[in-house]
Formats: sequence, structure tokens, C-alpha cells
Amino acid sequence: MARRFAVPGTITAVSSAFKTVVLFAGTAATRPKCFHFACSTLGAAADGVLEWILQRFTVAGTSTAVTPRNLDASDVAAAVAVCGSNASAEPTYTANSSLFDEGVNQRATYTWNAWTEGAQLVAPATAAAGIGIATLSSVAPAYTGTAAAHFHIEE
Amino acid sequence: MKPSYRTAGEGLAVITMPYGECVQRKTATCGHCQKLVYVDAVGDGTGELKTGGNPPSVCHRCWSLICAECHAKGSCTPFEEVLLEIERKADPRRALLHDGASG
Repeated sequence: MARRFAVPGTITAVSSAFKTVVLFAGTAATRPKCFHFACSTLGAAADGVLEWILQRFTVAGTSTAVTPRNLDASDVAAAVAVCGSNASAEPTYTANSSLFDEGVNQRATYTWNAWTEGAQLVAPATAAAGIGIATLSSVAPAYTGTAAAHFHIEE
Repeated sequence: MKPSYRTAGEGLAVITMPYGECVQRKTATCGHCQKLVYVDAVGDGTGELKTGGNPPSVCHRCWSLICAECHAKGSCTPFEEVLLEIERKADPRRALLHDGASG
């Protein structure tokens, strides 16, 4: 039976370059699968546009460790997947590997849910290889506040 | 009547728009690379895919919905095979397991 976890993340200053908000990576022991993600902002309402992108990476970079929260309290508390937020050294993203790339108004919230087993976004059972959500805002009026995103994963 | 493609990749995007309205769009996860694409299917999925926008193609080998980039490649590599290849490269011992070799 799969165990399900929430992996939240934020960055405090969106800029004109992609910065990773949250990421998860597999290990040799598990293939984490994203079945839900959401992207939003936490700043004052205005009409800036953020570009959100989900990409695969092969090196996780440096980020603040996030302990996945189990969604079912009766599950084990600890996830096997490695998760992080607010990257200070960006992951090494694989070129042309974006799974999702959309511009979203900063007032809007984008949510995606997998309906079926085959729809989940899967990371390989390989250390430090996984999927990250990154964002930027480069079109005036640029948004420079806090952005939040989260994954729900199962393993 | 069965759908004309595998429905295993279906998902749903829900966008809460700037002034509160909520838009829902059906998605498909590309069976070859896992890119999310929008599907504006008609009815129960047994009809033709709606044209316009970004309708995904159907791979006639694995019957998955696939993105335009994978369709342009003209070959079928299900994502499970991609994952196995990544894992084999990272740990050659897996190749022995997956190839059925012993010893």
C-alpha cells in the first residue's frame, strides 16, 4: 500500500530567473510519485504573471531540507524520498524535460491532481534524481514577493 | 464501448482564476515523457478528441496519449522503459536483475 506525504515549500523573493520552490528526489530504494501539486503566491494582490515550471533533475543542488508530512496519520511517519525547498544552489535540470510550463496570474492558484495510477509524475529510484517546481516573474508588473508550492507524493 | 486510447494518464487541473472563478481542465500525462497536456475530450472519451488548443496524439503502439514532441519523434518508448534505463545507468546491478541474468 502506497504511503502518501505532503511536501510544502516557499521562496521569499521571486526574481526574473527561475528559482526552485520545492523538489523531491528518489533514492535507490524508492520511486516517489507526485499525484498532486499546487502553485500560488503569498504576496499582496496585483496583476503580475509568474511562469511556473516542473522539470526533472539529475543532481539535487542545495536546498533547505523538508520533512515530508504523512497524509495518513496511521502510516509510518518518515518518507524515503528526499525533499527540499528554497534552493540556494539550483538542481541540475535536464534540458527539455519540462513536465509543465505555464504562466499564471499572481492572484491565481494552479492545482493539478492525477486521477489514475498512470498519470502520476514519477522520479526514478536513483539517488538525487527527481522533480522540482521553479518559478520566475519577468514581465511587468514583476512579482517579487513570496511564492508557495507543494507536492503530494506517494511511495 | 471502450475508449479509443488508454485512460491511465488522466488528471485534472483546477485553476482558481484572479477574481475567484474556477476553471477545470482535464489533463493527460504523456505516456512517453510524462509531460502534462490538456485533453478536451468529448463525452466519455469514446468520441474524437476535440480539435484546437493542444490536443494530444495517441501512440498506436502503446495506445497512450502523448505530447506533440514525443509524437514528432515517431517512436514508442513508454516512460517505464525510460525509468528503467535511468536506474540501470545509476546501478548496473539492476541491469542484471531486469535482464533476467543470474549469478
